[in-house]
Amino acid sequence: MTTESVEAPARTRYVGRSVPTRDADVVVTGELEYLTDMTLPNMLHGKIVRTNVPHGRLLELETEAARRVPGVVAVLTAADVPNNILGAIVPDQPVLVDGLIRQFGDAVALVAGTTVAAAEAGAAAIQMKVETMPAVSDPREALRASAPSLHDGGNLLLELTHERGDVDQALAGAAVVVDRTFLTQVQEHVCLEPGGGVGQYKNGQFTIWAGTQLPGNSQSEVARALMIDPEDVRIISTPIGGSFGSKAEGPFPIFLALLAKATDRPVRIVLTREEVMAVGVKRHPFRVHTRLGLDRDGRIVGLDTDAIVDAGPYAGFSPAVLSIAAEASTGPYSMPNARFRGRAAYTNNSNGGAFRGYGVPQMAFPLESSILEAAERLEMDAAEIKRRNILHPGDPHALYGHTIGPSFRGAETLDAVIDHPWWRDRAAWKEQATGPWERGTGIAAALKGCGYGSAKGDRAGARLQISIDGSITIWAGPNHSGQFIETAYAQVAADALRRPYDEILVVVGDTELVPESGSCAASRSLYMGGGAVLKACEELISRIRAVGLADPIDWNEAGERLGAKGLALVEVYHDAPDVTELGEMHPDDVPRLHPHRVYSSAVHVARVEVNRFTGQVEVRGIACAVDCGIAVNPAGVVGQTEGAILQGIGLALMEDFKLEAGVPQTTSLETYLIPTAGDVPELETIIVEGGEETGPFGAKGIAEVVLVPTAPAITAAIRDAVGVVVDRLPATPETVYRLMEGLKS
Amino acid sequence: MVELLSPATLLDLRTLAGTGRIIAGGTDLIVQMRSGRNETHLIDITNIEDAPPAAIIRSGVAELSAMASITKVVDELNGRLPGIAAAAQVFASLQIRNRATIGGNLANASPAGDMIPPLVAAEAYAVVDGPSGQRRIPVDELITGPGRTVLEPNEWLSLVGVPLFEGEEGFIKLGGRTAMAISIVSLAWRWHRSDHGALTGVRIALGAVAPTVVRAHKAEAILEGQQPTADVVMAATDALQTEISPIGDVRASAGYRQAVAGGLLRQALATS
Amino acid sequence: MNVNGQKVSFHSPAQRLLDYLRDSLELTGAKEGCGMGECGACTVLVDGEPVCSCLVLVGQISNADVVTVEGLAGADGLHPVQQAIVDCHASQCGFCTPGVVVSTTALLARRPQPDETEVREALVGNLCRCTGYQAIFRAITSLGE
Repeated sequence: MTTESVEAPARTRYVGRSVPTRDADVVVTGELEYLTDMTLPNMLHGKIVRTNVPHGRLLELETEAARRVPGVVAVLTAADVPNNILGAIVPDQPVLVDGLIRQFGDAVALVAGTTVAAAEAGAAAIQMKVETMPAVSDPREALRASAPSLHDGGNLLLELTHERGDVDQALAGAAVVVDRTFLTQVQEHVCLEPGGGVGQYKNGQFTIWAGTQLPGNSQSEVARALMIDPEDVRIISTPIGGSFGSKAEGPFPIFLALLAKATDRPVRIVLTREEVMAVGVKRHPFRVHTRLGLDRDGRIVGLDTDAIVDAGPYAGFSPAVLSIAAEASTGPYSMPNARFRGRAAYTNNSNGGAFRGYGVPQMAFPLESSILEAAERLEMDAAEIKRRNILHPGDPHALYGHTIGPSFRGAETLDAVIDHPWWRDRAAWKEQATGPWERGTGIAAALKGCGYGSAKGDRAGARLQISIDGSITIWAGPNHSGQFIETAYAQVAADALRRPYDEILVVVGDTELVPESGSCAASRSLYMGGGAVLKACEELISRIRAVGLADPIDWNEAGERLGAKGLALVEVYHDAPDVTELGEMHPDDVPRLHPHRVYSSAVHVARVEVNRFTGQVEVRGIACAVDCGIAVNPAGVVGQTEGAILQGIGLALMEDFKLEAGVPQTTSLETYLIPTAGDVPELETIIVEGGEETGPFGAKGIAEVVLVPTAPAITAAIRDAVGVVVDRLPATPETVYRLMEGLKS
Repeated sequence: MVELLSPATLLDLRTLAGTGRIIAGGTDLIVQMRSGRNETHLIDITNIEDAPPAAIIRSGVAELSAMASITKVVDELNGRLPGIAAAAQVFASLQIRNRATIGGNLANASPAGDMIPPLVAAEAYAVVDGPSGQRRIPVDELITGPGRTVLEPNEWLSLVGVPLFEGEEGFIKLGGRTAMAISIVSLAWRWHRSDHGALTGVRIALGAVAPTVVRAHKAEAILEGQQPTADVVMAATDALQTEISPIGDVRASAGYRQAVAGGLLRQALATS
Repeated sequence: MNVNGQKVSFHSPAQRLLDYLRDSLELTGAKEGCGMGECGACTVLVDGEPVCSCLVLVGQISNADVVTVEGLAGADGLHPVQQAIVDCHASQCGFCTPGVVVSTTALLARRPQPDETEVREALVGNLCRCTGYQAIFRAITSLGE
C-alpha cells in the first residue's frame, strides 16, 4: 500500500497521518549523535575482559600487569562491585564473575584507559586461571538430575503448567490428531549499532548514557549493585541504533557506573560486533511437542503443548517469555480444551532474552504448522479451518479462559488476507512455476497481547509543562529505538490539545525528566506511553478550563494563568485496565499467567519459490494484514510491519546462531546472515482498523505481532511448493534439500 | 603500530617487495588483521602509476589487471567474459568490489573465492611479478591449499590472462542468502553447444568443495560431445561427486555440499 | 586527501579511514557496525565510488576525494536523496541511514533512473535491520519520478 491512501479520521488532524519521524532530518545528514558517538572532556575508554569458556571456575585473576600498562587508569574485578548481583526478575547473575563461569564471554574485569588501545592492552594483560568444566549445552540434559547444577536449586528455572478443559479426553475423541515436535533456533537481534555508552560520576550523581529499553530498571539495578540511592542515578537511553529487545537487560549500565566512580572521569565503552554477537541476549530456542486434535468439521477440539526452553546461563526475562509463550500457545483460536506445560532450563548456551515477539513466534510456528497438517488430513482448506476457529471479542481465551477484549479484529484480519489475490490465485500462480523453481503459497495467523498483561498492572507516566509563552513540552516514554515514538506522541498531543504538531516538543528516555514509564517493549510504547501523553493533555485542558479559559484557547494566556497558579506542570500515570472478566480463570492464576485484555493480531500470506535442485527458498511476496486499532501514524505501522517481516524472513530461512558445547560459532555478520536488500520480497501491509478504547485515540501496539506469522507462512508455502513438512527453523537450503531427499526415499 | 608504505611505481614496488605484506583492496587482509592476524608492515599496491590497465584484449586473450578493483575490470570488459562478469556480480557488495582485486582474491586462496572458478574454467593464467621479473602460471596451479599459493613473499599478482570464448559460459553460486554470502558451493562453466544441443569444449570448475577450486575433469569428459539428456546429466553429476572432497563448516555440511554440487551443474545445464 | 571538499592531512597512513573520519575529523556520520565490510554503515565515497571506510587505510587514498554523509547536503537544504529518505519514512533507528544515503547518491550518479534490480544490487552491502528495505526502495523510486 501507499501510506497516503489511509485517510485521516475526520475528528483528528494529526492522528492517522503519516507524519515523517521527528529526527529524520538530522539522521539523514549524519548529525544525530548516537550514544556511541558521544565524547565528553577528559573521557576514558573502557574495555570488558571476558572468559573464553562457557563453564568453569575462575580460580585466579592476575591484574597487576594490566595496571602497569601505560595509559591504564583502572582495573576492576568482582571485589570492586559493592553488591555483585543482577537480574530483573531473579537476581541470579553476578555483575562480574567471582567464581562460577556460566557463559562464554561472562565478564570478569573492567579496564579503563586513556585511549582505546591502552584499555585493550590492559585487558589483554589480565591473566585468568580457569578450571574448565564440561558445558551443559542441551536443555533436556540440563533438566536431568545427573546434570551439573548451574545455580543453587538446580537447572529448572521455571515450570509453568495450565490446563483448561480435559485435553486428553478431547484428543482421544478427535477425528485427527497431529502429533509432532518442532524446533526453533537461537536468533540474534543484529541491531546495526553494536552498542555502548558513556558513564559519568559527578558530585555524587551518576549519569549513564546507555541504550536501555527499561531505563527505570537500569536505574534500580545500578543502584542495587553500587548500593546507592536510585535517585542518584540518571539513565539517558536515547538515541540508539536499534534494540528489538536486545537492550532490555544486562550489566552494561553498571559497568559504566563502576568505571566512572572508580576513575572519577567519564568513561565510554563501545562494544564490538563480535562481543555483542557472542554474549548478548538472544531469542530463546524452543523445543515444542504439539498434539492438536480437530473434529471432522475442522473445529479444534484440543491442543496439548509441551515446550522446553533454553534459558541459557541466567534467568533474565526467561520467566516472562515463558508465560507470554503459554498465553500464545493457542494462537488466535478458540477451543474448548488446551494444556500447556513449559519448562525453562538453565544451560551454558547463549543467554535467552527479549526479542520482538517474546516467545510468541516460537509457539506460532508449531501451531500453524500443525493446523496446516490437520487441514491436509481432513482434506480441507487451511484458511477455512482458521476461519472456523478464529477468536472473536468476548470469547474466552482458549488456555486461560479470560475474556478477549472488544477491539480484537482477528476474524477481519484473517478475512483481509483470505480475500487477497495472492491467496485467492494461489493455484494459478503455482502452475506458472518455471525451471527448477517450484512455487507455493502459505497463510499464517497470530495474536499477541499489548502491554505487560493487564492483571499484572501496566502503568506509564507522562509529564507535561506549559510555559509562560504557552509552548508545550512533554516528557514521556522509555526510549526511542527507531519506532517513531516521539512523532506519535506529538501527534496524539497535538490532537488532544488541538494545537499544531510542530508546537509540541517531546522528550523520551531520560529517568530524570520522564516519570517511570516502564519498558520500550511488549508492544506498549504507543499503547501505554501514548495513553499517558493523552491523559496529561486532558488534565492540562481541564486545568485551563478551571482557570476560566474557553475555546478557542489563548495559549499565551493559558501559560500565564497556569504558571501564576503553580499549575503549569502536569504529571500523570496511565494504568491499563484490569482483566475485567476473568471467565473461567482462577484469580490466583492471574499474577502467575498475567493474561491480557487487549490483543493485536496479524495474518500473513507468503508466496515462495523453492529450487528443487538446491533447496534454496526465495520469498516472492508477503502481504500482512494487521489489526492495529487506529493507526496513529500509518507509515509507522507499515514501517514496523515491513521491518518485522524481514526479521521474520531471517528467522524462517537463514538466521541461526550456532554454538558448539556452549561456544558461539557465528559471531560475525559473515557467518550470521540476516536478510539484505537482495532478499526483500514484494511487501504489502493491510491496515485493519478497529479502535481500542484504552489506547490513545484507539491505538494498539503492533510491532511484535507482525513478525509472528512470517515464519509459519513461509514454511507453509514451502510445503505447498515441494510437499515437505518443515519442522525446524531456519529452513536453510540444506534443511529443505534434505527434507526433499527424505520425501524421495 | 602498523606501517604502511605506498610505492608509486613498479620499480619502487620491486625494491620494497619482501619488506612487508602486500595489501591491495584490503577487504580480506584488514578483516584478518581484525581477527588477530599480525602484520607490522604493509605495502600498498593500489597506487602504482604504471600498473597494468584494468583490461585489454590482446590476440584472443583478455588481460585483466590483478591490481585494479573488480568494479573497474568488469566495467572495462563491457559485457565480454560473461562468466567473470557473473561471478563479479555476486561477489560481496559494490563497496567491496570497489576495493577488492582479482589478485587479492587469488592470493587469499580461499576455496570459496568467487572470482577463482571462472578463471579456472577458462584455463586462465596469472602473471606473477616480483624483484626477479615476471613469470606466468596457470591459475589452477597458483593455489596449493586454503590460504596457500606458490607466491613468494616478495611477489605479487600483476594480471590474469583469460582466453576469449565464443560459446556459453557462466557462474552460479549457492549461498545462505541471495547476496553478500560466502559460497556454500559455486560452479563456473564454459562449453559450446551445437545446433543439436551437443556440448563440446566442456570446462567445469567448482568452488568450496575441496581445499582449492577444482576442475571436474570426469564430469567434463562425460558431457563432452553429448547432448545433456537426463541419463547423461545423471552420469555427469554422479561423476562430479567423486571428484570433490568438501568439508562441513558453519555454513553447510560436507554431505550437502557433496550432493548439491550436482544440483548446480543441473541448473547450469538447464539455464545457460 | 580532500574530505568533503576540505584539504586534510593525516599522520598514520595505516589508520582506518573510518577511525580517521570519526576520531580525527569528528565526522561521526559514518558508523561502525561490524568492522569487516559486511554492514555498510561506514560507507563513504572515495573518488565518487562507495567503499566501506572500515576497510580502507588512509595511506592508500592519500590523493583521493572523500565525501561523507556530512558532505552531501547543500547550503540550501538536504540533498534530494536525504529528503526522499525523510519523506518516504525510510529510516527508523537511522544507524544504517548515512551509509544508505551515500550508496544511493552514488547509484543515482551512475544511473539517474535505476530499475529495481539495480537498486537492490547497489544496496546489498548496506544492511538495515529496521525498515525491511522497501521504504528505502520507495524513496529511491520517488526520486526518479
